[in-house]
Amino acid sequence: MFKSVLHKIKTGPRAVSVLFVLISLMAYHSWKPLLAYLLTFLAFAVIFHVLGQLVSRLLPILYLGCVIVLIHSLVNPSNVHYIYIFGIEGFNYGLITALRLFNIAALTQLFLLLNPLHEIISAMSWIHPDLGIILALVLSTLPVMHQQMEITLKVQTARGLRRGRFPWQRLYAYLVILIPIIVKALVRGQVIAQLLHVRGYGLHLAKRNLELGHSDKIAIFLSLGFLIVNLLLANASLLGGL
Amino acid sequence: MNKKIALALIAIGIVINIVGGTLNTALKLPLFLDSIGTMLAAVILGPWLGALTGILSNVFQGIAADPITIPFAIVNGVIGLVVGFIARKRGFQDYVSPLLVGIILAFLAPILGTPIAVYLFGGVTGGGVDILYTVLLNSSHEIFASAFLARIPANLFDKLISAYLVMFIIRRLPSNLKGIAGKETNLVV
Repeated sequence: MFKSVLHKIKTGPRAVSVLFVLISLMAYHSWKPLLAYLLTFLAFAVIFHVLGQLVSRLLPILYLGCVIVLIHSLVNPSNVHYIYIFGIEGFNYGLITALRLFNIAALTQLFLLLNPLHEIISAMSWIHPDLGIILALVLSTLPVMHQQMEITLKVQTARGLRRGRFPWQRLYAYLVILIPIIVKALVRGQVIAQLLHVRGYGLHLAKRNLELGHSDKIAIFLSLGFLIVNLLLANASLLGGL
Repeated sequence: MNKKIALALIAIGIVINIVGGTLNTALKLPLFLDSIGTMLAAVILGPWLGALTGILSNVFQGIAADPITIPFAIVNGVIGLVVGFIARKRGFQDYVSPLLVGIILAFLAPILGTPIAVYLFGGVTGGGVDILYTVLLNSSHEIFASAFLARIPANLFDKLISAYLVMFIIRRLPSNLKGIAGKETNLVV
């Protein structure tokens, strides 16, 4: 049922809905609603069969979250009550920050997993056609430049380049590898510009029509309502806490 | 400079930012080195297109891999603006313009990035800067000030290296590709 509903909503309205939900997440300053949201996002990931991929993308955030909680437990200025060397107030601050970060990462990664990249770029090209062509050019050029980076790294290593232990040695290695890549990228940029000219880009620009279906409008209004409700709830809990 | 070259250079600037950041991570450098493309685009195309390059770099990286980088697009955009305006005023072929850029951005980038980093990450980066941040936080008891001061050294080195690299590249470009950076300054060092 969820999948059939999701398929009726276009990528643009989905992005707008995600943005409203993100803003509503930022209204909370307590760990309980943030944890509830995180579990909801994970439940959605199970429904759409992307839980494994989502968890693997969230693992770096898990490490960062642990560092946030640890540092603030130890040295947060609002620490007054302690368990051994860990301050309770700092732990609370770190936990809320880490959960908020987790929620933002989970929601945005869920959006990326459920929307193919080409659809997102098509949605962005509605904003301006030049924006779409820039992002499409980046998509086509990036793998070539990554490959160029690997080749240059191998060639320079074969010529005797060593990364070394010290930062200045690694910085030298960085410059030796990056400069040829930049030069090749600029040459490639000239070729791309010529190809755009040859293909007549920019001569005829189609008129953009925004067509929102019923599902799109409902999704946007529901997410806006969700945002307003959350802002009111968050304010009420804040005032209740005071 | 015509529109098609501008579009191509913006795309190339974004790619250079991404590849530069990837290479920086691969070589385990304690810097960022992910705004070289923004500076290059700003120096050739001007401040506004440079800012667009910076913003789109973070947006694209956010869409393709890590959405957490999207809020920092504003920092990259401001880098493009500062570099572009300095290049427009002075050119970018002498040794003073990159120095000005490095010093201004060493303070401006943390001023803009620290509120975002504090709100999203509690001031933590997950890297070596956290040691300095923890020491400063322990002594000063101010989260924002500690996060801000911890970021200045890395930003200073990062922006100076990036700016001088861009200057050397611009000097060797053919004149039709130099854009606004082709302006000769009175003081050529």
